[in-house]
Amino acid sequence: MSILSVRNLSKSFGGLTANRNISLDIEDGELVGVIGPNGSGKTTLFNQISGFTKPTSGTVTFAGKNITGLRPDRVCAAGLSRTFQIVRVFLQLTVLQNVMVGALLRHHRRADAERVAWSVLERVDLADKARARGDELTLATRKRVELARALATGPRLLLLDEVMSGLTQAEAQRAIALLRELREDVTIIMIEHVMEILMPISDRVVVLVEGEKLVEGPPAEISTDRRVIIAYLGEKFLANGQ
Amino acid sequence: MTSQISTSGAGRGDTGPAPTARLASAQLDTGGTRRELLPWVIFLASFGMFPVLFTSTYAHNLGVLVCLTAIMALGWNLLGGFAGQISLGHALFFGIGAYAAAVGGDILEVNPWLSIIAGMVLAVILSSLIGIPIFRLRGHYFAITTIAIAEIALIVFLNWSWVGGATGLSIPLQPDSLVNLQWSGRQRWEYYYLTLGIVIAILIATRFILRSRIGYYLIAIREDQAAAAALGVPVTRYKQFAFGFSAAAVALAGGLFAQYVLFVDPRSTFGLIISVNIIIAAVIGGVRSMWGPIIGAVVFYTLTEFTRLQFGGTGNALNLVFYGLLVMAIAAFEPNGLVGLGARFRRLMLHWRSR
Repeated sequence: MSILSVRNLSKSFGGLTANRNISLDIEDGELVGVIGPNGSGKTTLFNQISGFTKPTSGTVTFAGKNITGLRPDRVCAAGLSRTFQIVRVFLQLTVLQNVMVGALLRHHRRADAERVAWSVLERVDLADKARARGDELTLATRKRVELARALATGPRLLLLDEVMSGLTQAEAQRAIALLRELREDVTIIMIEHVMEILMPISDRVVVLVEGEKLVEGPPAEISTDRRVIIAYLGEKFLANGQ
Repeated sequence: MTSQISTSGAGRGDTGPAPTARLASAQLDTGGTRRELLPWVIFLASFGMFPVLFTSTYAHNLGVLVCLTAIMALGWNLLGGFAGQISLGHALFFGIGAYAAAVGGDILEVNPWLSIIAGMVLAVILSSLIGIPIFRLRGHYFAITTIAIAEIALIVFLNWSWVGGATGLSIPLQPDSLVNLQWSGRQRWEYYYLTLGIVIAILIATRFILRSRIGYYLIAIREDQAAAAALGVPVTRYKQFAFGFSAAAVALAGGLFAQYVLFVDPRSTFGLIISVNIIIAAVIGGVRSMWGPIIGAVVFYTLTEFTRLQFGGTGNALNLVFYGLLVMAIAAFEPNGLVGLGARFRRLMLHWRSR
């Protein structure tokens, strides 16, 4: 049975259609990549699944439960956790405290939450930064803190919105290694701009173009798909033309 | 776990950049009991001894007002300082508390404690009803709406003849006793220690709230509401909690104030100046610290009395000029208020000593 099932999801902002009739099934244990040019509706899709944007039409079913239009905190409590494209680390709090906010969802006592937070920090290799404050961290570390925080809520499904963008080559390599480990016990959907990152780690790639699902399939197929190449080349052409 | 502040001396070097005195994060931190003890000792000793050292009616009266302001600023700070929802209309709850005591004493003739508790309950109910629509607003819109609601209450009470309209209500004299919440002595021992006891109770409550899940969630909401929601924080419910807590504290202060002066009228209870005074006290002291509102309340009254003594009756307006300048300076240079300034100073001393 699929853990997440999206049916005919559409979202319009006034006259602009950000998502049109998107359907998607994610199996338990999968790592699925979502790519698409800027403005193709990737983040809108995440926002609708995670409860930040109410769909215009369509349904989202998570672990057999209809979560369409549920508040973000309820979605998170149901076991679906997300990160943000533009990092939203609590800047005044330490790394440990950031992660504790997540851990407190399922561990109401502070001492328990702290224990869980430490174990998550160990896992994502951030324990040495536990006492640093959010505003002292580099972008790569902030992204990692967001990931740790989301993990601390004990999710079954993680939605990662461009956790790699802005990272150096070495940092991206570390992040990929981490995702490989994480996918052992959590299902992951990740938005990325760069196909090279998704290629080696994802089971399946979904391509969005202009708010619609263009194609989905194994990464090797996607990277040679004519329609995908055209969609991306078009973007490059525009970028060069400016 | 050691507290964050204590790492500025000892654990240097673990985290790369030199650890600084982190007010917001320190509030949430575990243990550090020894560190925590010092402010308590200073607070209890100074506040406990104050009316013994200064025995004039004037000093006692000042002490009561400081404690009442501290109660309000502490309550307000949980919502404004920790949850980051700036209310400019808490006079509403002060007025509700004061009028509950006055209506109970003058019209219904019930025990003042009962009236005050009823006032607090009413304030909490009112805060939940108001919270439903206004917590949909953020930032300035929230702040402006709170002013509007308090002003509406002022106009309602000015025109409501059952509660005395613009003339207000007087609470009839009763024999001196704790039950009657009235003492007619020249000195103000009883009122002072009663209000001080309530300050201590609210401080303890604040401490436990901050170190529980609620504290983490409130600060997470202040830092980034969307991120908090994404981590499973039911944002509105926690804002409502902070709003209810602050409403109850301010209503309690209002009830005690009415019982202390035995008179209420709309302008001195629902007036904008009450809301502003609460905020001045919290902001001067430091909104990200549990102790900020206490320090703020002391400094607020010290400055008020200083200007009054220096410049006589006309000093009344001058103290406001002072506060205006002080609040601007704090906003510009040290948003953590005097507590933040103290932390800076301590860091500087540590730095000097380690050279």
